[in-house]
Amino acid sequence: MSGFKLKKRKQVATAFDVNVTPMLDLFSVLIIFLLATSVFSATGETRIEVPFLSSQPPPKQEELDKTPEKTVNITIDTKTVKYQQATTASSVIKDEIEVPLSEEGLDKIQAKIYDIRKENPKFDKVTVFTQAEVSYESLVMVLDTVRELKPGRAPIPFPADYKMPVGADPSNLVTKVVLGNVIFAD
Amino acid sequence: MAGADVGGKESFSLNLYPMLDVFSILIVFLLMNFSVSGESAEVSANLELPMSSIKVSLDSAASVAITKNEIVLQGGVVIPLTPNSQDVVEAYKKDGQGAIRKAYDEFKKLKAQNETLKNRQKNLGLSNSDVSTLVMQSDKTIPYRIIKRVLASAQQAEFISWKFAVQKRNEN
Repeated sequence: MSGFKLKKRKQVATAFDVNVTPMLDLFSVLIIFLLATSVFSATGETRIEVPFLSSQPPPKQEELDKTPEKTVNITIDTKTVKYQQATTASSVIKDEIEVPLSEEGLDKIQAKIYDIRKENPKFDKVTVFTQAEVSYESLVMVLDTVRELKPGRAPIPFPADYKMPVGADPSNLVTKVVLGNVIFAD
Repeated sequence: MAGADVGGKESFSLNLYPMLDVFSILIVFLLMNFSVSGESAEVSANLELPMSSIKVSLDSAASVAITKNEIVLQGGVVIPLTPNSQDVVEAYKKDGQGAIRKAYDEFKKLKAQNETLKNRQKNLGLSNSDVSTLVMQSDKTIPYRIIKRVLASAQQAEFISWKFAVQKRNEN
């Protein structure tokens, strides 16, 4: 019995035990540092343009008629969004839909712009008109629809000779978004 | 807990290995999610940005912050809003085209500074930084009526390009 005890004591004395406490201290400091410096909520940006006041006269209608271009105007109201498509050759509206200001409604508008862009890759400008009561959140929601392809929608099949604008991304639907009604009298 | 009979007295030692395992996993997770670039632009306090599916990160530029109570321009100029955040207070409505006079004056000063900076960069042969763009940080509840006034003020000072700050939605 005493021989067994002696053997056990000898085993305990020779057992190799790593002291993990300093490692634990180091890990704790590292975790605190990473938690304190990590950026968990990133801030993004949506680029928009405001029409520049120019003293130049607007282009003549005859010139516009020669090379007509498609125009897309979006009007945001507090509860609805209106999509209007025309050409520079005439102010006659070729296509128009009005949808509720919701994900489903905006998806229909994106489908319309997507079809135009697919048909004509040069088309790359949407003008957004916003009513005074519309919140910044609603405006950003519409700008998202215009600029970013929704998940599941295939990237636009651009022809090989198409030059993507600087800063544009294949996930972009339209790269130039202009806010239409900035100047007003009140 | 492990006990060992040393000199007739029972001693306890804490098994730290599971804790070490958890810490290791946590460190690996944090390192993988650690943003190397960080935030290049500071977002003002007192405002909640709207969520967006945009993938472009906010770059630094002169910014305008619209909180629920005031408009804060680059340089610390403050333009108060009405109590219900519906418009700027009457004393600041001066311009016929919707601009805010005080904001316009500040934008004009900023434009002059930016032009000087651009010329200096050109003379030194440095690449031009984007000096014609402004960043809009607005609370998500702010009506377009106020945003439009700020845009109009900047437009008249020849700032026509804007970056609207948003909170990136996690698409994963």
